[in-house]
Amino acid sequence: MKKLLTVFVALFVLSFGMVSAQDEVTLRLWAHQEGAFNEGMQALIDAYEAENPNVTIEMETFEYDLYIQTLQTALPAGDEADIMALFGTWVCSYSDRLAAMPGELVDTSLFFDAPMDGYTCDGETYGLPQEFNLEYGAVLTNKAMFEAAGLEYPPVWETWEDFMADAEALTQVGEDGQMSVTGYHFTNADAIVFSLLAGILQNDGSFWNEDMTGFAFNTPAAEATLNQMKAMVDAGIIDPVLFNDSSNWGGDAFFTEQAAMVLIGPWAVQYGLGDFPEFGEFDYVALPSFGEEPSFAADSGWGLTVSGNTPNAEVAWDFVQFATANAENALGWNMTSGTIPALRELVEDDMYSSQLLEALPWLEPVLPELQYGSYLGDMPDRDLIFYDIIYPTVLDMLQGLLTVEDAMLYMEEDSNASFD
Amino acid sequence: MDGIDIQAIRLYWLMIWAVVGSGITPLIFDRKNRSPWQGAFIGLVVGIGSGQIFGYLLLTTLFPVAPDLAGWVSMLGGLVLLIPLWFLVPETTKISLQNRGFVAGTITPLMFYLLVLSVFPLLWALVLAFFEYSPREVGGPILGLGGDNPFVGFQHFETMMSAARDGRTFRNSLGNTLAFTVMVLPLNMLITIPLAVMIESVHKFLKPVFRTIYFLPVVTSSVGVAIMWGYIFHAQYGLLNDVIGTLGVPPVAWLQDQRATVLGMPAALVAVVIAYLWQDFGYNLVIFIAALQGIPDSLKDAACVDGASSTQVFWNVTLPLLRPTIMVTSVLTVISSFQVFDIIQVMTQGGPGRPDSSPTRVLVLDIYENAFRYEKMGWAAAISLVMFGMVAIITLIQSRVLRSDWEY
Repeated sequence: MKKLLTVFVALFVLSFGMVSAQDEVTLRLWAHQEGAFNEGMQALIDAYEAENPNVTIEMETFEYDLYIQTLQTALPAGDEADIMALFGTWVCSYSDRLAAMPGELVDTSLFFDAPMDGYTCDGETYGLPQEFNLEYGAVLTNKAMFEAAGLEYPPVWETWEDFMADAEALTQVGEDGQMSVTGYHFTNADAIVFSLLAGILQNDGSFWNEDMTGFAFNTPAAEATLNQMKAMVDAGIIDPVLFNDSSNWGGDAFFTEQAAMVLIGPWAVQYGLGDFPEFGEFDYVALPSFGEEPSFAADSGWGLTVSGNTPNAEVAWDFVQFATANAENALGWNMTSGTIPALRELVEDDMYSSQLLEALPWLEPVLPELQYGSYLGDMPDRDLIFYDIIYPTVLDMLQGLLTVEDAMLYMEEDSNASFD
Repeated sequence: MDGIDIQAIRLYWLMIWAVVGSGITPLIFDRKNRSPWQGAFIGLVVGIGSGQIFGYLLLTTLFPVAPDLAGWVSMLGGLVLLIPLWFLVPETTKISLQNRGFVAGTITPLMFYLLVLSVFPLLWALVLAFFEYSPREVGGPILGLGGDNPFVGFQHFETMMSAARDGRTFRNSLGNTLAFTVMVLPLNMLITIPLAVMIESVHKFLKPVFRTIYFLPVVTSSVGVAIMWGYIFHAQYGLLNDVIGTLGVPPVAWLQDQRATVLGMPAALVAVVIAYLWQDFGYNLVIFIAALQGIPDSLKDAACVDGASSTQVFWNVTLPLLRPTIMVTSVLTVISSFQVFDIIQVMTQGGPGRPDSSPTRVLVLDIYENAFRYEKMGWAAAISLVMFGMVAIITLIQSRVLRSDWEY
């Protein structure tokens, strides 16, 4: 009998051990390499593992270009990680290989529309956003340069004329005739693209055709916007040959005091302060609008998605919910990464927004602008359209190598060809 | 089997046991008086088969017990059938004195690697050129072809001639690549041949010093070279603009301004040609120095005895005798010029300007961007096929024109 009892006890212990072993879950999480982003993600992982001791999440990071290539090859091969940090604007192009969010796991109206729409494909939700990717609406300003030029700080611009007057006063040209400081750097790739898209919206136009099946860049609204951008160059506030994405990128130009104002997203601040920790005072200041409302188009920013192949989808989604929809956790990630929250509560609830602004005070003028943002829409190949079509074409136009009319024709024809 | 990339591990089994099987079996067959070539083939097949079958059995058996060790132990799967093969293959009484076991055991694995790593990708590129293939799309069951990666026949080649953006960009890239090659080839020869002759004429203790100095850029990282030249040509704080500024010449945005030209050529293209030449000429220089050392002194002495000046010796003796070397170096230079990528990617990113009008957008950059940035593998393969054809034609022409019918 004793022996039988011993056998039963042994079997019980063994079975308990087996059940425990089955409960152990290891998830892989992929992200692109970005110090502050990865630090914030690791903090989320640590917190989740502390709450769920049977779950281990291993984060693997890739240099940005390599990450894109890895996603492009791993997803079709089914070798991807269980959880992937994806840029929202890419999500729908991978949606057939991602897991749709189960039922009512998270109320998606908790998030701003602009970031959330990128994760919504054909009515299904394929991930949850962590950031509101804002590239237009407010400019980064250098306080010392304003004061040196004898300008009011912080500036208040009621009209574009007010803004242009400041930009002209801030611009400096060297003895050799070369521009040494640009008053307003808006010729980065992202800045050009988002200026164009915002300008079209503010001029009461749309960059999509009526049924959203093609682009509409050969329009009066686009023409008005391009002429407004060209007028800034003609006014001498920027030299688009010397200041653009490949020479004197806006982030570097601002933090090396070669640009007094730059149109760039808040993500660049953490980047700049990392390289230039002694940089002086700076702020974001809202840009005037071309129209009645300061509408702008926004990418859907970084967020988390779950692989369609993962055997642990339930746990993976639980982590995604934990990281993105839990206000405390989401706020921690935004504060560490220096990004704008995608979760409405963090902006609209004073308790959270005060914490956010304490950590990232330069976001104060940016947060009221978020309500005017709309998702730019699903494009067949966003990077191709942004960086190989719109940016170089508009830059050529600003440099005087193309007319406004030719630029509009090229952009519309070439970007619509990407739908083939 | 969480955490195990079975496809990767299958590749390891394949590469390891193909080499072991086809490398060792010929030696054993040779010792047993059997044909080593037959042994190489049998070893290759048995090694691959055993590696795959028993590797998988070992992996699936051991993984639940020892997941960390299972992957490593599975690497031994190939031995399961290879060891019996090596021990059990009967010895023949036929005496063979050829001892080709080492040759077969060396060549067969190398041929296998060449087939897997070079020939197969070449053939794959050839096939892809006729498909609208993207790794993002779900293709058919055979190598992902078909389905959403459809056969398109000669459509890519028609696009190259069309007014579509891809066609315009391709033609611009092709023109830039040809312009780059046309500038690099003669300049390289004009620099390296006289320099090699001069170095060959200095004291024997100084020769290795010069050789080393001129060869150093060749072994320097291309990215480092590109960054250095990028600073030299920088519009605002570049060394070149500083120098010309002292002469009262206004600064030029060498790499950014599409309007800037040097002798009618786009300044950005000239800048990358200079950077490329600086890094590359040392390679040809060393080859020319070696060729000069191979020219018998008796030929030059004979010319001198006949009253030829040193210039006449160079033009009438040295240069003609360098003709085979000129052919080799020019072929190599053309091939490497067609493949230029890293210096341009770092210095100009294929700019300035739109891809269909930029002066430094070259074919390899076009292939890279389409294949790995925009995942248009079929289109990229079609461009690479055209590039392959052009290099082959130019090489053929060069070898015909520079062919010599004599030896010394």
